[in-house]
Amino acid sequence: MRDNANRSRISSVLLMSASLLAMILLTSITAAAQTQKGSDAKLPCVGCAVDGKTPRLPDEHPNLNGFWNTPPRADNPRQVDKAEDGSILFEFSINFDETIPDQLCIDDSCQVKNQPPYNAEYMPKVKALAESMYLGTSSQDPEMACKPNGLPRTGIGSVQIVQTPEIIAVLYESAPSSIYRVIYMDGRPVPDDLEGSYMGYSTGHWEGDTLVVDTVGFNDDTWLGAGGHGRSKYTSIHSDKMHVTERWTRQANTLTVETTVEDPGAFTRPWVLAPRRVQISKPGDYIREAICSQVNMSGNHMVKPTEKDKGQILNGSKANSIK
Amino acid sequence: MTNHKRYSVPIAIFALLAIALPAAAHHALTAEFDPTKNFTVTGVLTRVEWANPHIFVYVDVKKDDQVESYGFECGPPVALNRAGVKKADFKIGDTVTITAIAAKDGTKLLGRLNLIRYSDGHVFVYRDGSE
Repeated sequence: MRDNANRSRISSVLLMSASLLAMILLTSITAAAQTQKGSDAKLPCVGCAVDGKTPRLPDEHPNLNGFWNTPPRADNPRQVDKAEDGSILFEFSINFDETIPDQLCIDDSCQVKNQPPYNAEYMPKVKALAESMYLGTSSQDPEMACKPNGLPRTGIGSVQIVQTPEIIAVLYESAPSSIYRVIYMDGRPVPDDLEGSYMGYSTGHWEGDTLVVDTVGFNDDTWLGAGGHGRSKYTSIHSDKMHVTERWTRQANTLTVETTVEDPGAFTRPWVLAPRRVQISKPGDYIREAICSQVNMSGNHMVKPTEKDKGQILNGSKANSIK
Repeated sequence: MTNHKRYSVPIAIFALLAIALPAAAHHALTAEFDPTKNFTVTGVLTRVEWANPHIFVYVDVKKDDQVESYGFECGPPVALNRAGVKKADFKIGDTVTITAIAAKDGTKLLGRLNLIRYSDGHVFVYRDGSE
């Protein structure tokens, strides 16, 4: 069917590239594989586990410091091929987190899979938004106005974590702009005069080796995630009563975040997200600045889906973060 | 069923290197661009907007006595930068031939970049898994 055709077409393009490669003798290969300059052997792996042991701080808590950024999966690569004449082939594949392997779920048949449990007041609005979408993309998505993605939509990819005894600061590279979150670890109470914000107000504490983070004080100007990115298409708005609970664990070089969303304004029960994971970044990698410009945003020329379009399924694959 | 046109891209020698790239929010290409319709123009590469979430490459194309300025959307600068693709790789002032995917809303001077061929023959090819 369509997804099979897409899959086989993509793999035959890759196969074509691979067989070109096999036929042609490589001369020099640009050594930009996983670092900007130098080889992995020369640059230190910052924040990395040694001998597979999770690093710890002097207070014995797991050490989360570092830049976390997962390389692409082998079966859904993002590849850059460089040739000696300066030619560049950039294959920028989609990475979707999925409960549905290899395809987006866009029709009602799969929308039961981890759909946010909207209540009777919210569900009609969410359905109306879903009708306006094109394969999960909507011009009404606040991200189209470069608004911060907020929580829980901002995943755990491409983050710099700065951990002190009093706070844990999370610097996000691209959400869709560079943004930060401060998690207060000193037991302070949540202010009672919070104005709603995109990233909310976070407090955290350790339960053994698990960092438990509670975030409240959200505005309602974010989406839970544009529907269709491998989840139900009915995934969008929420209320400002949202409360996000995360449990962070580090195992060797993997950081895992398990997220539960409660929203007494919009939900009938808590919504549990699939765990998201990220690896400590490769040597030489570092956080970039990303400032979203609405002029350059996709969606400026979005059209409504036709009946033909609605039958399309985009290929995707399991990845590490829901975006 | 949508016929996705296969590009036969004359690619030189490429070593398949897996590059660590950030997971970026992605929206359906086909909401804006029609993978069954591509077009090719030749003109002078005048400007590169190295801005998130999409880089734009601008090309002045002569049509009769007029000059039309085309804008071509590409990927996120962070992703390109991390892969070692730099703004300077887009040669301002060069006469280039660009193949792009047409905009569904009929905007003529807009496309999703697929290939730039520079005057010395080298190419930049950009592909997105949703094509």
